[in-house]
Amino acid sequence: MSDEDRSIRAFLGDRGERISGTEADALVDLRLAGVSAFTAQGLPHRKRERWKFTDLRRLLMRETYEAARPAPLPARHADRVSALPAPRLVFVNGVLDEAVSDLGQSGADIVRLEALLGGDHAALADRLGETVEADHPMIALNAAWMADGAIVRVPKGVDAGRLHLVSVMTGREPVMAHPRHMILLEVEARLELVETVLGDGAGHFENAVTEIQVSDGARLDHYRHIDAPDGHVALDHLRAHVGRDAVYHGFNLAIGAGVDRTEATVRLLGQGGEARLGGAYLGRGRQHHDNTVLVRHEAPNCLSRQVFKGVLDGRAHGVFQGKIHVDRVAQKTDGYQLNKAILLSPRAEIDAKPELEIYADDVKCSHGATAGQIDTDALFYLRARGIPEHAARGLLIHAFLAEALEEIAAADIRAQYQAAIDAWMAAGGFDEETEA
Amino acid sequence: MTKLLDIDDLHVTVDGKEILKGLSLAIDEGEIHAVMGPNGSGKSTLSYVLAGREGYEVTGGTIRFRGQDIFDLEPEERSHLGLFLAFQYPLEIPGVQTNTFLRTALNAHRRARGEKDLDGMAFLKLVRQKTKALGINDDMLKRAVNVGFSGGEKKRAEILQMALLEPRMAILDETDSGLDIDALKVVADGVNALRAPDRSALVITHYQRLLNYIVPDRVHILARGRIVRSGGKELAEELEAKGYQDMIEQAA
Repeated sequence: MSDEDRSIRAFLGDRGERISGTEADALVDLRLAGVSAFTAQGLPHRKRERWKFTDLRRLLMRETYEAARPAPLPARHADRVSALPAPRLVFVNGVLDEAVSDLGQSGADIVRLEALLGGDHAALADRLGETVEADHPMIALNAAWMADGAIVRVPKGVDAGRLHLVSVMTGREPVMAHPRHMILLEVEARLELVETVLGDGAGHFENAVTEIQVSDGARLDHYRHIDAPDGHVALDHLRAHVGRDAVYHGFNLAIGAGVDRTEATVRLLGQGGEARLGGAYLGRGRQHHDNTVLVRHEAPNCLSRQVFKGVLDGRAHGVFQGKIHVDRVAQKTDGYQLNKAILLSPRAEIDAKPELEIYADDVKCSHGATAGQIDTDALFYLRARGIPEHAARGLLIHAFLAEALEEIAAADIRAQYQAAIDAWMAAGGFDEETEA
Repeated sequence: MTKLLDIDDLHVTVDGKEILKGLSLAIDEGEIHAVMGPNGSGKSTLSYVLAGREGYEVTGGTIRFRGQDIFDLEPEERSHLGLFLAFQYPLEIPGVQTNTFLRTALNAHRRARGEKDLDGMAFLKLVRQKTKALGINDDMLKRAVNVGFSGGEKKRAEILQMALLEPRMAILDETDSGLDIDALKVVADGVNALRAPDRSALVITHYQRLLNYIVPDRVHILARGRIVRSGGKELAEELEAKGYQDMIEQAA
């Protein structure tokens, strides 16, 4: 059996027969398309350009994942779940835990994907899949398995405030879940979506797809914090359509997790649209953080910014693949992209692939990528003032990440993320090399 | 009088090239010494090797500070002992607020002495007192360390750091270079304010100008990695009149 076949069998099994037979539901067509797209490709691996640095076949074939079963929220995560005073949806092993979710006074209309699968909300079900590409193997795998997710609609002109979306993977055996969320902001609607990705126990595998549509004049602020243990594999496929004068503003903080890959594709489809994607990734041990970002300018006068900062210690591996695509019609595009990484150890590694693809002639686009060590002159300066080396390094890392954190508009989220970063720094020595 | 700093027959190599070739210099408590020398004589090497910068290899001789050989001490340990180097080119550190930097440094010194950290309020009170005494604008505290500072502001910031840390020995590495007369006075006032029977200073400079404001007890001429002549403050004036070339040739 080939590696492709093995990966198809391991991750799909008899899913195809079951969803067309006894387990058929309202989204059977979408699911079957997923089954066939995944079967055609198997798990993506390093010979495919987009997965060159994140070889899912190698990373995911180390474990055997069972399909996750619903479980109660483990007590140890209760504090994290209730940390934000906001309406919240808590998914445990990919399924909504109604007991700990609390929608309170959310101005958004929220239903479960499960209800769509059962045949309710046909108008919403029709929109599922609008933003995703049909041939993406991991999105296809998600379609084959998706069981639950948040379907959030913010009506025209409504500011729905904040919504906290929590995902927890738990259990002693490695399990996988494929949540599918859809966030629809109607004209001039607003929402602040805060995601927290947690895990415990064995290394689990979460393969999420988040479909976002930000209609004309609407604004979505989207913060995501991955704080999972070492063996955890977190893939997120975010696809956003941004309309005229609409804003998508996202920030991704990746701390922990064995492997995470956040693929974000944002299409600017109307004049005056804006996409800001920021992120910070911190890795040590053998952790792997991948930010694969594509912003497509498909209308004139749009603005996009990508600002990512990484700190990698031990044998951690960072990946940044950032692309700005500017269509022929997208005149007056203002595009900016930056990825900077600090390598704290000689065995840490960053692969950065910044790309500009421009077909319009009147645009302003720039990008930059740097990787290096801590500035030894600055370090000496701080130490010469009596600041011990460890603290001086901490101060410089703090300062390095500040540029990315400034992209966060919400002050309380920024403070929370800063605290998480400080805890990460306090938890580990910035060892030049500890592992042989 | 006791020697606060005692450098004996110091040899220092940078990138395989010997820069200091048997430099000896002793500074007693309470004294201000000036080291003057032309470009390339080893002035900056002397200041960096005292502060403990990497890349300066001591191949011979000793440096004793407060009776202790500091050869094996880290830069922060030298700082805690009371050595302070005012940099010729202070580093810009984007993202670190001057306030945070100063407080972290001061508290590191307090911890090294077994004292408790100063809290934010107590620190602010202290730093305001220092800026006021030095005539430095408080706005500097909210800006990132040295980022966008003019040359004069950077040197003022160095003097503020010195005033906060109250070193036993301040080393000024060409602190006067590129300064207008106002900034020069701030620097001089800062150093003079710290004068005390148990504190000393080493003023490293190319020009005599600063020594009109910080009057040295002793002046040394550094050339080709060695002290070639020492004398009282009148030596600086003589140097100003004759120039380095003549003085060095005379000494040789």
